[in-house]
Amino acid sequence: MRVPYSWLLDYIDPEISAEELANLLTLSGIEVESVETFGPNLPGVVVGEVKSLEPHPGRSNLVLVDTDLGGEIVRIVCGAKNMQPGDKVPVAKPGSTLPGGRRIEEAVIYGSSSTGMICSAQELDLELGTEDEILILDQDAKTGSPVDKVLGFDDKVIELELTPNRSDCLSMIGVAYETAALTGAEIKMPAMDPPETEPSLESIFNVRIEDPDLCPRYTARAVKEVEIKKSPLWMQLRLLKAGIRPISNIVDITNYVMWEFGQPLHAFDLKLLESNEIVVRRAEEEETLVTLDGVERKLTPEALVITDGKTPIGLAGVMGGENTEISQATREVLIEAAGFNPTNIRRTARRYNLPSEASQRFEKGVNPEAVLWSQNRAALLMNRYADGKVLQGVVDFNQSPARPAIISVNPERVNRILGTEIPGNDIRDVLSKLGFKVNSKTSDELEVIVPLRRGDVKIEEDVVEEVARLYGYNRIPYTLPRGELLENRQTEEERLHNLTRDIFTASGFYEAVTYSFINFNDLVRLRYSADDPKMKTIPVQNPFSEEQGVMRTTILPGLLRVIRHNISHRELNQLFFEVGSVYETDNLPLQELPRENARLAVAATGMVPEQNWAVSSREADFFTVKGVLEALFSRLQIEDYQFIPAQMPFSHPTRCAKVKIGGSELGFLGQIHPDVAGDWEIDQPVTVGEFDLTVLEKKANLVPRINPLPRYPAASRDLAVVVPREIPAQQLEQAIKKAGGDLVSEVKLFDLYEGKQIPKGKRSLAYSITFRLEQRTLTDEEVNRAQENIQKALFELGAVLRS
Amino acid sequence: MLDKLKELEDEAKQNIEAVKDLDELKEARVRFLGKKGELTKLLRSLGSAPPEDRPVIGKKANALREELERAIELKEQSLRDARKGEQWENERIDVTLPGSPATVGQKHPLTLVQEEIKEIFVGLGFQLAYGPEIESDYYNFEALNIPADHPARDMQDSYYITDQFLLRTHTSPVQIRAMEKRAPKLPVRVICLGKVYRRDDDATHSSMFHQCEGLAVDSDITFADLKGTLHLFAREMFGPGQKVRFRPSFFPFTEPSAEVDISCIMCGGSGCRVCSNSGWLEILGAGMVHPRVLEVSGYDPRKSTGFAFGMGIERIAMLKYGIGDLRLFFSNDLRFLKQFN
Repeated sequence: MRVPYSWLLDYIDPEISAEELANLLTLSGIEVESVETFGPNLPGVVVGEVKSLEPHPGRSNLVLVDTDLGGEIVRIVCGAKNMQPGDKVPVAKPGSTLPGGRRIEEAVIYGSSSTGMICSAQELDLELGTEDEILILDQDAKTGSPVDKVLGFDDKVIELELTPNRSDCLSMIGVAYETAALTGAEIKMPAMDPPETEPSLESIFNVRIEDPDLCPRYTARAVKEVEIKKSPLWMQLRLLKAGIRPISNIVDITNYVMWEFGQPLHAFDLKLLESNEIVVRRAEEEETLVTLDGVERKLTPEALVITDGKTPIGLAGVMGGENTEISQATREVLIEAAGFNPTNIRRTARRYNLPSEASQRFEKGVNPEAVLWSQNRAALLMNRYADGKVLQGVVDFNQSPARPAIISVNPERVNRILGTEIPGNDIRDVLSKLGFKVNSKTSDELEVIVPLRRGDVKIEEDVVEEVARLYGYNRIPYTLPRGELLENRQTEEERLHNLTRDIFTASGFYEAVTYSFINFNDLVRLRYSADDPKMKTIPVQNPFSEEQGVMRTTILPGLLRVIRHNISHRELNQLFFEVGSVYETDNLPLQELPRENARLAVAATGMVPEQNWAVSSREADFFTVKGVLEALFSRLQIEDYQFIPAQMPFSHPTRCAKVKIGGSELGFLGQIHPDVAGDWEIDQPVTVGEFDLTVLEKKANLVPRINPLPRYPAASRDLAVVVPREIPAQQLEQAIKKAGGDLVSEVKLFDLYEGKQIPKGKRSLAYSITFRLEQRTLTDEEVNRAQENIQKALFELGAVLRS
Repeated sequence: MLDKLKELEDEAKQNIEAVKDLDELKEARVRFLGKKGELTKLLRSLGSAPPEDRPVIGKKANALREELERAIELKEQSLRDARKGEQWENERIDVTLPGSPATVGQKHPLTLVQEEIKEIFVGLGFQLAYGPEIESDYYNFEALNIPADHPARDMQDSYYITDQFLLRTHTSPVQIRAMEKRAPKLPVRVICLGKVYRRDDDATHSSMFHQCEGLAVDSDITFADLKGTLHLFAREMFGPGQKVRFRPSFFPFTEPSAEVDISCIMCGGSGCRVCSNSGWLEILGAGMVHPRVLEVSGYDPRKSTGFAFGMGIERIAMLKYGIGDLRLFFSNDLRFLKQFN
C-alpha cells in the first residue's frame, strides 16, 4: 500500500514529517518498506502561461507559442497543439535538464528561434497522456514558479508492507486512524454528501442476490449525464503516487475512493445493461465473460458473477466485464459497492490468475461501514468532476448487518501475558486512542467494543496485542522463563551424527548440504533399473522444474553434482560427505507419512593430500574412504564389520563392496563406473558410498569402554608371505588370528607388493603380529610355536614364505 | 736444563696451537706428554742436573705438564665445538618452507551455525525436538490456525506431495507435535532445527532452507520472557553489544506477534547498505502462542501460556559470517567451504 503523505494530510495532520510517521508506524506493527520522494528535482522547469499561438511559417506541424514565464515572455517552437491561450504549461528553460538527461538549449528550429521547450507529462517522467501531448497544469499554478513544486514532486510516498491481518490499512483512512492512535491527532472525514436528484434509484432499478452466502452485501447508486473526460490533474497525480494509472474521471474516481476507504468500487455503463436489474448469482456451466483485460473467461458455478439479469457483466469482486465498460460514450453510470465472501474471491482470483487491488481487499476483508461511505463519496466526486446528476438514494441489499465484536478483557490477564504492570487506566486509554469503546463491566473486567474496520480483532489476545503495540513492545521488560528443569541432552541419533561429522572432517572431508529433491533422471543416469526400490520416489506435485521433481531416495546425485560443480572450477581434489535424510515409502500416492531416514553419503576424488613438497600424495580411492569408515567403526567400537565384494548399478565392476555390520546391511562403498561418471560429465575416478545411519546407530557404542593397560610385555614378529592374488586379505588375517589363538593381540598389514620378484597371479603381504597375554610374560618357545602354527595355517591357504 | 725446558714449552705450545683436528691433537699429546714423550724424556735426564737445581726444575716441569694438559683440553673442546657447528650447519632447515599439509575438512557453515544455536538454547534448558519434513496439511497449517483459504497461506507458497501432504513450509508444525507429546504436562521447552521448503527460487530465496523453531509453554510464560530469551540469544550469537528491537507483526499461530530486529552487524546501527540505512536487521518472527494452537495441542489457554519463535538459519549464518549470497550455501563450492577452515 502506497501512502502519498500530502494525501494523508487531507484526513489527519500529525504535525510530524513523513519519515517520523514511518518510524512510528513501523514500531507499531505497520511495517514501512520505504519512504520515497515522488519525483525528481527539475531546476529550470517553470510554469508558463500560453499567451498566443501562431502557425510556424515553414512547417505546418509546428506552432510558435509566446509564453509568459512570469515577467518575461519567450517564444517557443512546439510540436504539440493541445493548448490554448491562457493554459498553464510546464516550460523547460534553456540550460535546464529533463529527467533522462536531455539538456534544453536555445535553438533555431526551421528558421524560428525557440527559447526553451514546452513539456509533455512523459518528458517530466510522469506516466500521463501521450508523448506529443503537452501537460496542461491547473489554472491556479503560479506563472514562473517551479514545476516540480506545482506537481508535488517533493511529496513523500510511504510504502507499507502490510501483514494479512491489517487490511484496514489498505486505505488512506485506515492509515489515518492508525496515525491518530499513534500521535493523538484528529481525523477529518472527507465530504460524502452528494446533491441528489429525482427519481430515486430504487423506484427504477432492482438488485437481486441469489447467493447471499457469497454476496452478503450489495449496494448500487446511479449517476446520470456524466461527461467522460480526464479527472483533475491533482487527482491523477495522487493516483500516480499511489501507483495507479489514471484512465478517465469515472474510473479514476472509483480507484480514488477505493484508496480512500479500502472499499473496491466498480462502475458499469448503465445504458449497456440489458435490464433495470442487477442479479448476483453463481455462473452457469459453459457461461463466458470477456473481462476488462480483453480475455474471454470460461466460467463455472464456483465463480460468482454480476449479471444484468441476462448475461454476466462482471466477475464479482475480481474484474468487471468488457460489455459494460466505461467508455468515452458513457453517459450513465451504475456504481457498485459490495461485500463478497473472501474465500470465494480468493479462489476465483487464483483460478483465473487475476490478482487485483479489488480482489486483494475482498480476500482480506473490507470495512463494512465503508460501503455506503464509498458510494456517497464516489457519487459526490462524480457530481463534481464529471458533472453528473446523482439519483436519489442507494439500493442496498444487506443480508446481515455487521455488528461490532464485543470482547471481555481482564487487565490483570493482559499484564500476565505481557509480563508488565500496565495500570488499568492506561489500558483503557490505549484502546480509546485506537477508537475502541471501553466499558467497565466489573472492577476487573473491561468490555471492549471493536470498531468494524478492525475485523482482525476477535479475541482477548488480539486486544492484548493492541495494548502491547501501542504501549510499545520496546517498553516491555526482559525476563527469562523460570520453572522446572528438563532433561535436555542430545539424542543418541544426534550425537552419532555429530560424531560422524567430527571423524570425517578430521579426516579431511568437507560437509555438503544438497537439496532434498532431485531430478528423477538422475537415478536413471545412475543406471537404477525400473524395479529398484530407489526408483520408488515420492513426486513433488508442483515443482519449479524437473530438477526438483522427486524427493531423493539417495544422496548420491546431490554429491555427484557437487563434485562436477567443483571440477568445473578446477577444484580437482575433493573429499565430501553429507549427513541427511532420504524419503522412502511403499505406497504411492502417499497415504501416510513416508520414512525419513538418515544417511551418510561420501564422495572422494582427486589426490590426497593435495600434491605438495613434503609428503607424497595418492589418488583418493576406495581405501581412502574405507580408512575413515574404519576410524568411525573403531570410535563406535564396532568390530564385526565386513566389506564384501559387490556391485551397484553404477559401480566399477570389480571395485565395490557391500558393508555389513553383523548381519545388517549398512550400505556400500565403491568406485563409480567410468561410463557412468562420463554421463555425469566427471572425467576422473570418483569413489562414493552411502550408509544407513539408523543401522549404525543400533550397532554403535557412543561411550567407549576402556581396558586396563597391559601389565606384561609383548613380543612382535614380522611375517611376509606370497599368496595367490584371489585370496582376500581378510581371510589371511582371520587365519592368523585363528591359528595364533589367544596369544595374538594385534595383526597389522604393513606391506603389500605385486610385481617383479613375485610370480604372476600372486602377491606378497607382510604382517606385523603382536603376541601378548594378559596374565604373564610369554616365553620365546610359546611365541615360536604360535608363529609356526600361523605359518602352517597360511600354507594351507596356498601361501609360501617370502624369502 | 732450564733452557731445554723453556724450549720444549715453546715448541709444545706452538704445536698444540697449530693442531687442525682431534687426531693431530692426540699425536701432539703423545709427543709431548706421553710415557715416552719429550717432557718425560726431559725429566728422566733430571739426574744429570746439579742437585740444588733439581727441585726447581722438577717443579717447573710439573707446572709445564699441567699447563700443556690444560691447553690440550681447551684445544680439544674448541675442535669438538667446531665439528658440531659443521654438523648443525649441515642439518639446517628452511623454516620458511610451507608445512606438510594437514588434511582437515570442515563442517558445512549451516551445521556450524545450527550447532551454535543448539548450544545456546540447550544451555537455556530447551530440549531438542524433531518432526518430519514431509508433513501433513494438518500440522503444517490447520493446527497452526491457518485454515484452507486463509490469506496467510499466500505468505508461503508450498510444495505439495498430495492434497494432504506437503513439504513443511516452516518448522512450526514441530510445536504442535512437541506439545501433543507432552500434554497436559508442563513445562514444554523445545527447539527444533531442520529443513523447510518454499516455492521460491531467486537470489534471496532458496526453495530449500533451514529454520530453527523455539517453543516454551508453562503456567506463566510471558511476552517479557520471550523478549529476555531472544535478547540473550542475540547477544550470545552476535556479541555482547547486540541490541534487539521488537516490532508488532502477524502470524496466525501467535498473538501477540512480533518481528525481531538486531542492531546491524555491519554498521553497528548507524545505517549502511546491508540494513538499508535503518540500522536494524530483521532476524526472526515470534509471539505468544495463539490460544487456539494451545487448545488443539492439548493445553488449556486459561491455565497456560507460551511463546514461540522461528528464525532462518541461512539468514543468521549470512549475518554472522558476512556472506552476501544465499546460493553459496547449496553450491557446496569448495572455494567457499574452505574459507571456514
